[in-house]
Amino acid sequence: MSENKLGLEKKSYKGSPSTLCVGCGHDSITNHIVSSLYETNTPPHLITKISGIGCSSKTTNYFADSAHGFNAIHGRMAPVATGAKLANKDLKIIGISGDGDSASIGLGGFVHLLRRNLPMVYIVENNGVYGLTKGQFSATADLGSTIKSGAPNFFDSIDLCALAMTSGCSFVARAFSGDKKQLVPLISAAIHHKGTAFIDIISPCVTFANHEGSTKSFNYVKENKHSLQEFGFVPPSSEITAEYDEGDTTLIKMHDGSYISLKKIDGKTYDPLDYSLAMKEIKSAQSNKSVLTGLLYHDPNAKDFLTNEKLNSKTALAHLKQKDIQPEQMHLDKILEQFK
Amino acid sequence: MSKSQCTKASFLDNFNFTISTVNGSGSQSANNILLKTLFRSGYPVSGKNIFPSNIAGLPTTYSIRVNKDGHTSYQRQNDLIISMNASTMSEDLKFLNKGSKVLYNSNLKISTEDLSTDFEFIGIPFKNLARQVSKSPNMVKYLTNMTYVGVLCDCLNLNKETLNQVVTDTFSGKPSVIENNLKAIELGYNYSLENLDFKINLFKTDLNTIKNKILIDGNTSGALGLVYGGCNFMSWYPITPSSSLAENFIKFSNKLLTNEDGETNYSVVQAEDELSAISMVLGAGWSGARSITPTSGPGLSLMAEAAGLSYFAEIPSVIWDVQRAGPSTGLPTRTLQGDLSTAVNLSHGDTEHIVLVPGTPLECFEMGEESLNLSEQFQTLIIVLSDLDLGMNQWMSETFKCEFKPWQRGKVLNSEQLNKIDTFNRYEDVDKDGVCYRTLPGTDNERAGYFTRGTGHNIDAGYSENPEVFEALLNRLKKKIELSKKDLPKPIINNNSGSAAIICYGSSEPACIEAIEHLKKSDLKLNYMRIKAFPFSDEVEDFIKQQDQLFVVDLNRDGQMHSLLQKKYPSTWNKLKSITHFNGLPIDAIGLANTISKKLSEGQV
Repeated sequence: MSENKLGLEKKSYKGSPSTLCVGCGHDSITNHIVSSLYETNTPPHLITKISGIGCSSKTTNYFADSAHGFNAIHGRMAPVATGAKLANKDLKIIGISGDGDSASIGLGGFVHLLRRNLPMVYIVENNGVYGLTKGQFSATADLGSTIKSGAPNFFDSIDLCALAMTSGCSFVARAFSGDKKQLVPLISAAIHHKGTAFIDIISPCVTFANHEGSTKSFNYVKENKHSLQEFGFVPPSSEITAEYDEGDTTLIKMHDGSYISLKKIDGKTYDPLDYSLAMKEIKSAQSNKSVLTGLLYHDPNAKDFLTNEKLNSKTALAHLKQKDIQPEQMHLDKILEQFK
Repeated sequence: MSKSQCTKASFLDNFNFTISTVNGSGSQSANNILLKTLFRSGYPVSGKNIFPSNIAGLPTTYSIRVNKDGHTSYQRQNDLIISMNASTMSEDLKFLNKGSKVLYNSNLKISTEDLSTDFEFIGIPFKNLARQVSKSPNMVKYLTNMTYVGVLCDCLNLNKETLNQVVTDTFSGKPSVIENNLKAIELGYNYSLENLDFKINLFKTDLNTIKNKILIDGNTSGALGLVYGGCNFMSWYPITPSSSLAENFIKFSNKLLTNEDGETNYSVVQAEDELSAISMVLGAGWSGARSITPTSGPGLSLMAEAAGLSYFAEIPSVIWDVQRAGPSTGLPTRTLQGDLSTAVNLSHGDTEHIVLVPGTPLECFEMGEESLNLSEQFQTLIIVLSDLDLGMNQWMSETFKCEFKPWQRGKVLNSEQLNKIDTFNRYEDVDKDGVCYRTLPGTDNERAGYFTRGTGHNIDAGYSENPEVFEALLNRLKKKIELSKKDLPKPIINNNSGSAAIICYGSSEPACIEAIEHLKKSDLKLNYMRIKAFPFSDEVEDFIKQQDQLFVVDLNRDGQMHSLLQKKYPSTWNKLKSITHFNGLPIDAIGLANTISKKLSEGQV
């Protein structure tokens, strides 16, 4: 068996057996996360898995078994992650949420976490339905798509990527659970991003949303998926050995010296640093009913929450000792002078 | 009445006066300056700000009470009114003792002719006086209030130097503001000297009464207690009357918890709502920070679901609820103790929380550290129940000394400790005290990780729907909370060889103590207990058992503490009588004494 730079085999990043339906898109995503964590040499003890409630949120149990996990309450993955990260800046937070969890009950927390640019990976496993309560529409279900019984959806969908962009997210991507080639490097890049890296992963629900009228079924996504670029990730301090044709491939340097490589598909150029272009592409894909995948938008210079807060960069708050931080009585006396 | 006549009159041992203004007019500074001047002169004082839920233009009153015996409870009945608001004049007079004076702003269109002849109306051109200092309408608005401070300085025989020093300290660093305010005060003072022919003779003061004392509100005190108690994570959503706790915490921690590199040893997040505020606290508490969220009633309701998670998944967290008058939005700027029942069982299912109830600013300071200690010691939610009266009004208090005791960080295993034990099960009751060992995320040991969940779980934190496992878990949690009582703050008990007793909690202490003193004059002796925590310690039960009759004083309609005690000690239910007060104002002592006296005489019949 091969080992990563920490001397760990891939199985060190695996979790408990999945209890989801056989063929669930979420299980594929779990496998891709395992691959990314392994390939990025992420120390397992620093991995911190946080989720809300729903089928997607169960998946934090299915990878990185030795890591700490927190399956919180419905819609609260974002604020729980915020607290956990601020208390211990060293944690590598992998937040897993669903479309119900993030686009409805947790919408406020989702948007505000992105505004703050909290360093973490934020994955939404998006299938357009509430699976765990047996197939009701979620807010990401497309207008005109149907639930299993055939009833149509009368409302516009919330496009989480568009919402993420207007909320100030500095790394916005969309992917398909079945596309390992694109998703593994995307998750790896997300792990290295200094800020919130948001990936909306269309992940078909085999039980409640894999029918003809669904726009998030395996068949629909396969037929209507368009990749913006061939996405690659080059870890920090590795030499760029592959040959990149400058006219064909763009490299974007990340804060820690790693690179994102973006190779043109069919000769088409797409610049993920261009905010307006990204919004335009998202909107046009929405009108064309196509599933646009890849890195939609990236701002490598966005200031993250911890930097903005000037949070102690040496010691995690959780590890500060009383003797190091408790102020002396004289400071209290001085403050109390004004109350005399 | 001439000055000489008044001088012959005896000295007043108790003096209560109210300044009636509109909010947003800057009267708060003037009133605080007046209060502090009395305090620094050696008078035991209390100040009650009865303000509207509004930014500017609605009636607001500020009552200052000076009492020789040190009683500081709210008194609605006045000995003097300063009327700066024409629209509330007739309402204000309802609570003025006959024969008392009304100093009113004669620049307002107030006709006193139709008003009661029971009072003496004295018009003073406060605004004209202020206009002599500044031409700016905005400044005049503020300075008008300062002129009544000058007038009262003369009428109450206060030392002008003391007053000027308070003004200088209050506006420290703003020389032009100090200058203008001092001018306005001087004009008011001189106006009084030249035009008013009366003095209010308060009792002789003794500066010893205020030695080592401060004048402070509970929210500021709590914020300081949190800083000294090691709070390093706070998330909050602005809500009256708790916002000043968060704002003070930010101010103090910015000063005291920032390291040499200019980096912070704490984090404060203004959350998007209370759902997020409490969830952040759970994330931070789980991750190892000492975490708290301040809020008030509506926020507490929103936090209910996460409160259950804290209890069930055993995550340290603190909610500091500065209670206001509910239900619903209720009276956001008035005081009540209506959240007690909610707090004790906040969340669905069989949830039970440890609740601490401070009754003084000093206890707010102490419970800052205590609440964090208990949350980590018992790995659960601690709810601190303060209230608006305690949180936002100025109380006299002993000064604060930090005891510098080691912080209780609870049962947390580090990597080395994990290596020394055979097995680590997150929810195994190894010590048989209901409290299990936890590890923090990021612990560099492959045995450290576990899966925290709000779903049913076995001792290894795995998902479980097993009936026996679930029952055992709920029983252990019950045991844990029950056993915590020995570590919670003990009640304050005064045994006065009484035949009956008062039980109270929180901010009603001054009124209860004064009511007991008052009844003593009619030979009615009452014992006293103030409860400071739930679950109740054994001392609470012992006290109740020793009494024949107990009056439980609740600042809520339904007698929430009364019900809790009856439920906890069913055999004593018929000797526990409920006294409730729930109009949004602090309870007043004489009214309380009269109620008790009436109930006692009814009991004898």
